[in-house]
Amino acid sequence: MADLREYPRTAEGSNISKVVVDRDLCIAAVSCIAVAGEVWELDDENKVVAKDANAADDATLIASAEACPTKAILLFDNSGAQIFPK
Amino acid sequence: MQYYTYVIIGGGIAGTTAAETIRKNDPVGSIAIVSDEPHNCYSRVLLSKPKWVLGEQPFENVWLKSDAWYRENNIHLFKGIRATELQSGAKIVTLSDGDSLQYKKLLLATGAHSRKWDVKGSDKKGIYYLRTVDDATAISEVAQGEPKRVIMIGSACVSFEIIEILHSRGFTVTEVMRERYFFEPQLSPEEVAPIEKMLEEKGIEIVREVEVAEVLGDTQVTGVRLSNGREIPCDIILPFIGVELPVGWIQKAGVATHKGIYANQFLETNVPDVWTAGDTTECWDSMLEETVIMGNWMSARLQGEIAGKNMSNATKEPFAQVSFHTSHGFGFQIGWTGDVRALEDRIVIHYPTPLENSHCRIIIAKGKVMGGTTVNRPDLMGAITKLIKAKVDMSDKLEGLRDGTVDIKTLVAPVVSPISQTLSQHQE
Repeated sequence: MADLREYPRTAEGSNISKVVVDRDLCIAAVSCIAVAGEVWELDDENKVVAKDANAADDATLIASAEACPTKAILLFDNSGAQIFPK
Repeated sequence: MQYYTYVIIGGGIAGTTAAETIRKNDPVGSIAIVSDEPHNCYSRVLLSKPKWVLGEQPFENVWLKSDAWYRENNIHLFKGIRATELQSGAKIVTLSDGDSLQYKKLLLATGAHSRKWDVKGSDKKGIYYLRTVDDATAISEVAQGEPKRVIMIGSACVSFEIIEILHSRGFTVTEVMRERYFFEPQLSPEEVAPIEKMLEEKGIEIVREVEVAEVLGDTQVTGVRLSNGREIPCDIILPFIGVELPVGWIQKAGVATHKGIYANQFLETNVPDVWTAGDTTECWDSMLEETVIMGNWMSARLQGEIAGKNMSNATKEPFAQVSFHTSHGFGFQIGWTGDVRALEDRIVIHYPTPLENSHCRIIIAKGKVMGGTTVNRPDLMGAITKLIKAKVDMSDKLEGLRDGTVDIKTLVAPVVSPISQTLSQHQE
């Protein structure tokens, strides 16, 4: 079973309503934190968690997911469809 | 001859991050990346991860940059072309296709190459390396096919991860190593014992302290003969015996090298207007206060970013990072934080961890924590990172760490993660 952590996103005007981290895939390369340090941080297990899923605009959030070398960050739009990875 | 303001040799994560960073700071300067691979930037990390190798994740997940990204950022990618000569006085790089590039500023992000396995018969069919996406595609096809008999040469992270993948597909795996135990010297025998026990319980034979004398077979591999005379039949061989840093052509241009390309903390080489970043870089790390070759994704990415900033005059910023990497397999999660070399003048403390099959080592130099290793204790990696960064004098705490009366999680107050501290330094 994949170890998934889900974070609802309620930022006004955003087309992304849910952010998911697949902890089995996360290797803490921290590329996402480099792009969007306001959203992501490392927990004690050196896995990425969202400290505030609303803290960045859509473009920054998408860029942070794109930067992940294991594609451990999944993004879903307001209709529930996965928009990243495509 | 073509002219670019910025020429970057190497299209991996270091070179590509540098180009991305330069473009943010300099919207007009021309940028060229020269890559000896015929591909856009991809995730080398993914190449040994089970879901990707076994096709449970889309193959396309490997790509980190699309053709559109290069186009939109006006970054010219020379694909499948090597740099063969550097004239640092005239600022010209000669390419393998005969063309040449003149630069104002140059980044050497040439990365590491698989060390070639050079034994009698090692040119036969059925031998697979793993460094590039093309290598990985070939291994992925094998892994998804009929189970085979495999000999794995080498005993570091990638070997460990690929063994688990192949074992999960019903392959028979024999591990042949020159070392005494798996992960030597990156882990201690105590840490590795439960991991090797698990491997052997799963039917993986570990053959230690021996080398392959000859690969057997006509044109196709059929087995190996070891230096002790034993013969082991097999269908394929995976010689994952580490990497080489090809710096010969760089040396010839007067760039100082040792094992890698020498750089100061700003990633500047000894030659004006030439920087270096990524796996080939041997630079002063102002966090660890020593010269290091890191060779991991996290360091390569950050070095690319810092070199990009320094090249485009955004800042003058030093490389300072407590990097870490992890490996997973057979129910074990192994972590390496900071500089884990147990050098002679260092103190190694086995920090007690009561959990089954878990271990933690703390490496101390001159009274300060330099690094640490964890087996099935990923929760301690954050604490080790904080101790390295805080540069706390541990001289009076060594006994307490050894007997477990000192809790390493409470030694340093919660601080921000290494990368966010680096980022906040950027913003200052």
